[in-house]
Amino acid sequence: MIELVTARNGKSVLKKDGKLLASVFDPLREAAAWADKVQSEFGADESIIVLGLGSGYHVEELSARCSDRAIYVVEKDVEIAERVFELCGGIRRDRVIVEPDWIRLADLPVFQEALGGVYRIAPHGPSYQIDPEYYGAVDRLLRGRDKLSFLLLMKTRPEFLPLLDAEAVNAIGDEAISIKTISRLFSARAVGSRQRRIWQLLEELVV
Amino acid sequence: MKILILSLLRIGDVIMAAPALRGLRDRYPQARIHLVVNSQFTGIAPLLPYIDRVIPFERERLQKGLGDASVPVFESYARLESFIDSLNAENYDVAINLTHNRLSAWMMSLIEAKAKTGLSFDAQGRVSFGSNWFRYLNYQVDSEGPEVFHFSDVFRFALDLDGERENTLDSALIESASGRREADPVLNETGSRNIIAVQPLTSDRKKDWGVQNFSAAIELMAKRFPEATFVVLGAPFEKEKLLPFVDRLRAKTIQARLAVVSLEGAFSLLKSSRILLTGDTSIKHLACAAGTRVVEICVGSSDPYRTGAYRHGSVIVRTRETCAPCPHSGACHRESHACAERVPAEAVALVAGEVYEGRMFQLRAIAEEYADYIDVLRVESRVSGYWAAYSVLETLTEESLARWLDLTCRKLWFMGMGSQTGGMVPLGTEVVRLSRLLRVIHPWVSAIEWRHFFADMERDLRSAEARINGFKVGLEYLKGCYEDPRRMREFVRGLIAFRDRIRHVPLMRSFKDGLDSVIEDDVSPAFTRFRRIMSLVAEIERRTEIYLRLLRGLAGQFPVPHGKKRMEKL
Repeated sequence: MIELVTARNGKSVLKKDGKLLASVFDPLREAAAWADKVQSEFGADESIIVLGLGSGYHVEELSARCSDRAIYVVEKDVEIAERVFELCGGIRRDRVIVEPDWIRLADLPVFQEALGGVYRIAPHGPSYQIDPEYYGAVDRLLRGRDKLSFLLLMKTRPEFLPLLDAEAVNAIGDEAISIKTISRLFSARAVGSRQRRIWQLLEELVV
Repeated sequence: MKILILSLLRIGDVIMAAPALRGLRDRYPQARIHLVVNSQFTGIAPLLPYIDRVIPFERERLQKGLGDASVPVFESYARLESFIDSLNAENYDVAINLTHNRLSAWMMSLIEAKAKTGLSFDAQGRVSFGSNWFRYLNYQVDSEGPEVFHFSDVFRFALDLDGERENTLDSALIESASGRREADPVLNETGSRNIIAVQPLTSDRKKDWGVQNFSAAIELMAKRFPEATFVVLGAPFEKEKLLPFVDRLRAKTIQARLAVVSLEGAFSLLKSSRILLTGDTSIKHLACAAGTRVVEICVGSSDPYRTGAYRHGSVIVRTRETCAPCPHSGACHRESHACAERVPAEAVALVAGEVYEGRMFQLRAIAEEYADYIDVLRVESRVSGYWAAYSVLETLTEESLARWLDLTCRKLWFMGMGSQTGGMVPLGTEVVRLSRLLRVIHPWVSAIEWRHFFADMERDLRSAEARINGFKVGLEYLKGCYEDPRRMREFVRGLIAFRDRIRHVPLMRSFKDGLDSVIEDDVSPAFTRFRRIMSLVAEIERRTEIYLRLLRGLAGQFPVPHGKKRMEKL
């Protein structure tokens, strides 16, 4: 159940199942602190994928600071999204990805767009605490280091699919996905392709 | 015109390439020249003002992205793809790879330049070199011994830059204002014109001579040159290690100071130094570019013949331990660091003293005194047209002469004397250069002695020439039947006999590797093997011809005085 509460500074804050999605004292100050941390960790050329809309203030703050960067948000709850759009006018709706089933994220065009270049993951603590299973799975999906996440992530990289050997893909085990894993997946068709050569260059970095 | 250059190894390699970079700028004054280096070395940019753009390659970041499970799995791919796209957006006319590794070769395969030179893979991973010199670099990496060219020479020859200006690191780097500002406080504090710069630490423990050895050498030098100030150079991360070292020197009332400065600041400091005393470090190359003579201590994996101090008048003190130089990778296999321990501090101090005073005539005496422990090599690069380091104890033998002849022969071979058409190659220039070098190395050898050596070597080559003609005839015969294993074996037996024979001929030993690879090849298809044999025989024939022409040319450079000619006839 979603409730609206008023923080000490007069701002409205969302509450789901009794858990707050922002500070009940000063959500704007909390949002600024969160944005400070995100800005300090990420480079200028990276897009940001925020996990959890919360009450929207942290996303609004980050968007105001990083207007030159692509900021996407993954949110599980449709109702939270609707409430946040009412509260915060500074969030781009076209970059908020609302999908309760994380497995289906990779099929969404806007999610594929978010993963188009170099991206960094910025979890929102209160959102994580409310649904750690969902946001944990999204986090793993975005990193792509386990078999299921990696295979789902490959949907966002259609240029690779024709170059891979189906048997090798099926044979991926439970080990963490690494460059060695990826190198084994390429078929003979891949030889000479630009994508394969980029991976071959990367392989030389870990030799 | 737009030129892209890749130099993706260490900062020392970038500096060693500087004469070639400057040569390119001189040749193409209007060109836009961009240089890709590993991101931690972009500090070199202010010293290369004739390079329009220094582009960082984020090697460490890419590696982190690959190895760190918390980083999205495609992040490094996306970064690298974006990097390659940004390079290709420049539409380079020429891409030049001065790095000799697979990583750079794959990068070259992805760069869309109109022309490429240097190690490169095509889309299918087939290798191309674009120049005999870069092919030679590939071979040289695996070979041992002094019969190799310095990397700086390989780079500039590969780019067809063989002028006087390019034959030196001097003025290949340009002092920056900020470097000067960084160095001034140190220079003002020392107030001394007699600065001996010291860099006691290297990037690899195996190459370290040891701070205690440096300390002992400095103490001896301080006694002899009380007016000198020792400026110990180090990077910020070395400060903790070097402070106690400097403090111990100062406690002995030695004028010593620690200078933790950037590359620019170090360059400015070195320009004001009389000498640099160092191991095999990038600062050594910086000093050479600053015009400062270097006393280089070679231990561990240091290989002076490929990467020695590229500055005329420098001296290399090389350990005589048989295990040196050892491979770069892997730890020292001995119980103690013997190659460093057995280089006496006293010897180094004496050598450095000679270089400091700008006189070299005691070097031979020092080398004789410590001959059991060290080799003392003098660097000569003014007369020879290529970097040369020779032992001050080098005696004239066929062996020692063969080394210089071989290097000059290779140079001519790569410049085009190896081709069917021969090309316009400056044989006469190389003969003159070689003769000058030989005179420098062996100033006391008379013309008659030279002529005897040349004549003896020419005789050996003539008999080899006869054998080569025999092979050529044999090849004509083999052409029609190379698929017959018996005929092939017969022919190869002839090559084996030839190989055994040339083992005793110093000048022809350089053919051995090629002969080995052809003789031992029993896996290639018959046609491939036949072609390789044909190519090898042609190469031996051409190089023998070059040797003969060199020897005849050299004989002309050492004319026997008229009276002595008559004595010769008697």
